[in-house]
Amino acid sequence: MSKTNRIFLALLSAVSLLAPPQAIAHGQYGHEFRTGLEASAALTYRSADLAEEVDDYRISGALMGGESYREEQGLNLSSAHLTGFYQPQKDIQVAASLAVHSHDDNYEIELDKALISWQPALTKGIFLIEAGMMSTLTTDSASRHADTDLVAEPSLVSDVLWGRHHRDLGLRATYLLGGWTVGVEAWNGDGWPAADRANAFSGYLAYNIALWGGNLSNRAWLFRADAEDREDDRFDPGHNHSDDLEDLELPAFTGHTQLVGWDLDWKKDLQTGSLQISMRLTRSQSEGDLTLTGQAFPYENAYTAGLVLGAYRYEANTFYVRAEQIELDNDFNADITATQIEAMGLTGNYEPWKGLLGWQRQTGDQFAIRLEAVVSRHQAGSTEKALNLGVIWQSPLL
Amino acid sequence: MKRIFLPGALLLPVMLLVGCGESETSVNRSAEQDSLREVLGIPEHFPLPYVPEFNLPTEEKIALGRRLFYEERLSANETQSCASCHEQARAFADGETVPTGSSGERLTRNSQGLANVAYHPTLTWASKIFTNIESQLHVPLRADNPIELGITDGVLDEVLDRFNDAPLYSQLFANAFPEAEPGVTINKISHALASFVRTMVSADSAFDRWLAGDEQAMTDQQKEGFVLFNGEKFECFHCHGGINFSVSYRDSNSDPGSLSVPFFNNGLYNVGGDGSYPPNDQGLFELTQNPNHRGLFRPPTLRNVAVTQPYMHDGSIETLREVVLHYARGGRRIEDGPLAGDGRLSPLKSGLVRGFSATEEEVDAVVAFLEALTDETFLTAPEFSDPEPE
Repeated sequence: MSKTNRIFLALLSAVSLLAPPQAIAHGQYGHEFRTGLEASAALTYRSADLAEEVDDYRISGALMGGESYREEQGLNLSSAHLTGFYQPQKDIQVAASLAVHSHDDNYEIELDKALISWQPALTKGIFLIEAGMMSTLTTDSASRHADTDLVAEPSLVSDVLWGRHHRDLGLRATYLLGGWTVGVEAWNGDGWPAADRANAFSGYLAYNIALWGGNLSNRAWLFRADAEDREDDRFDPGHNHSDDLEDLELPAFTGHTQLVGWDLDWKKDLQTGSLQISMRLTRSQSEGDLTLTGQAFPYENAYTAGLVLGAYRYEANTFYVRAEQIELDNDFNADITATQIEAMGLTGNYEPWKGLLGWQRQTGDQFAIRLEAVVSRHQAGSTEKALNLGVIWQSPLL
Repeated sequence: MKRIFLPGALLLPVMLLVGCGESETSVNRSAEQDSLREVLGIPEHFPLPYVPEFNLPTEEKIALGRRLFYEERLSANETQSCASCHEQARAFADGETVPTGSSGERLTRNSQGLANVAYHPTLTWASKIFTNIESQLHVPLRADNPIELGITDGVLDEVLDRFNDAPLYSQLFANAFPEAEPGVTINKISHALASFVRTMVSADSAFDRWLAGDEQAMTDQQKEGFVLFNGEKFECFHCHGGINFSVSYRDSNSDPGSLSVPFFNNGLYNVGGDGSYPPNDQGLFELTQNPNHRGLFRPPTLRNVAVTQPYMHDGSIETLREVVLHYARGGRRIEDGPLAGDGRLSPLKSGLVRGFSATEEEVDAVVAFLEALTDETFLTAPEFSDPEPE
């Protein structure tokens, strides 16, 4: 473990132990079993493409992949879910969720979740075991969806560090006591950043405290994944020919990636609404080999990402602002030329960022509309701007 | 000012979180890699070639190799040197259809240029056996069928004695191989020659300068040719891609376990309609005796190709333009004679040689681009020249 990483982990531990715990909130990390059927969808009109061409959504200096596709101009179904819950007995729940995601020109229906949960009766605390297809609960950056998130615009942090969504076969054990939550997860090793059924495991420690009249939720987490020949297969290169040297030869990564993070959410209920400030600080480190057309390059990277979200809800209106930036450091422990690095798309001499201002209005029990002004830089020397106008629908069906 | 303010204000807290660091991509080369680069004279924009551990280069080996390269006493009858068939001004090809050996015997295959030969995983036109320059050099030095320099077993001691008896060479060999047993051996000769040949790196063509950012280095026609070269129609890059313009490529980062050693049949012949090549040279088949290997040859580098004419393994095409037209046709048709046949219809021809229709301007552009691969610095570099010209 590098010195920087040790300092970072020490910082996380120190911050996480600052204050005594309080009762944990439910919601995303909830444990209440039920039987039901829910649906949600987000429809968004975007005024401009995030990247000019389909395969231009690459960030120089970042090993990207997974499902981080560009956002397209026009009206798009950002995401949709149909989720069913079944509680055959008091301590068991079975859940499955079908999702529709936009993969650039295509929509794909995917099994987003399929898991069984077991909550044995304990005299103290809550113990929960979950197994099946699911996303990590280490951080919400790993599983943001436009139909369930406040923001329609995909997060840069999610796109670069998680391939937009993490999803894998896994086993999770969670224990809640007082305001504390501790969880450990073991994965099949197929969900980005893991690949090819390599080892992957994760864990988190969270607690709540009262602060400034509101509730502060702290979460420190770690996710470690191995990968074997992990490729950026978002774009089918087909019979792709280079008419200039800007076309990339994307390498495959074999090695391990370790992400550590600190998630902080402070929320205060007001007479007419609420105020929320959230922060995500993540450091991802990879070490291994990049391979390309019979060549292997010993390689390390360290990506440091920060995200801040502020939201103020006034009656049915929520105004929000989100900003995020990533620092990308790549080290080749090999004799490699600048041209080869450029061809791999790993020159990385700038910090990609994305910022947005948004407004969301709840227009009834099931519908909300939102408007976002987005400014971002995912390629050096260029700035992308777009407006998002969207509708969100969320409804219990049964 | 207003444009800058909004994202700047949004990002301020994030920058505080991330620590206001700057993204950076760094290359950490080992001291050994730096040393090899310096000794071999590899420019920064070029990869380090594969160098076998058993023959790490030194200045002394390279100096000896250079002298031997131009030394006619290295042939049995003292009439030829390596340079007899490898002239610097022709990128170390010789301008002949096929060369003539020191005994007057005509060889079978065209002399290949030696520019960037260190970046090939296999040596010679059609062999998987020679995977380093040291071992390949035993063919021109020692082979007796056909004879090139002719240092056959019968005359080996005589040739070695010439160098043992020459004080200058005795000193040069002692300097180049300080830890070896005294005396000249054929392996010391091949190792010194290989060290010199490994320094023959051509990396300063107009294309290289354009690649480095000099927009004026290539003409518009040459840039158009580059696009065509890599385009759907001409498809040249399939066999001649990469920084050395050959997919038969190896450098210090190449994984020995997944090394690609490609050979292609480009439809040059189709004798008898069964894909055969002339009986005196059927390519890789000569070694493997596999009928499917008839006509398989290694794709050479195209660097300095404009000065290495004539072309193909047997020197049977005179000009670059004819070469491009050969690929446009999808194979060569020989109307009559013992080699008659339509290469386009060869059952053994590579699927990459499909033929295409091209305008005169397009052909001109591709030829112009190929001419942009000529490296005048390489062709005139003093360090590759005869150390004692007559």
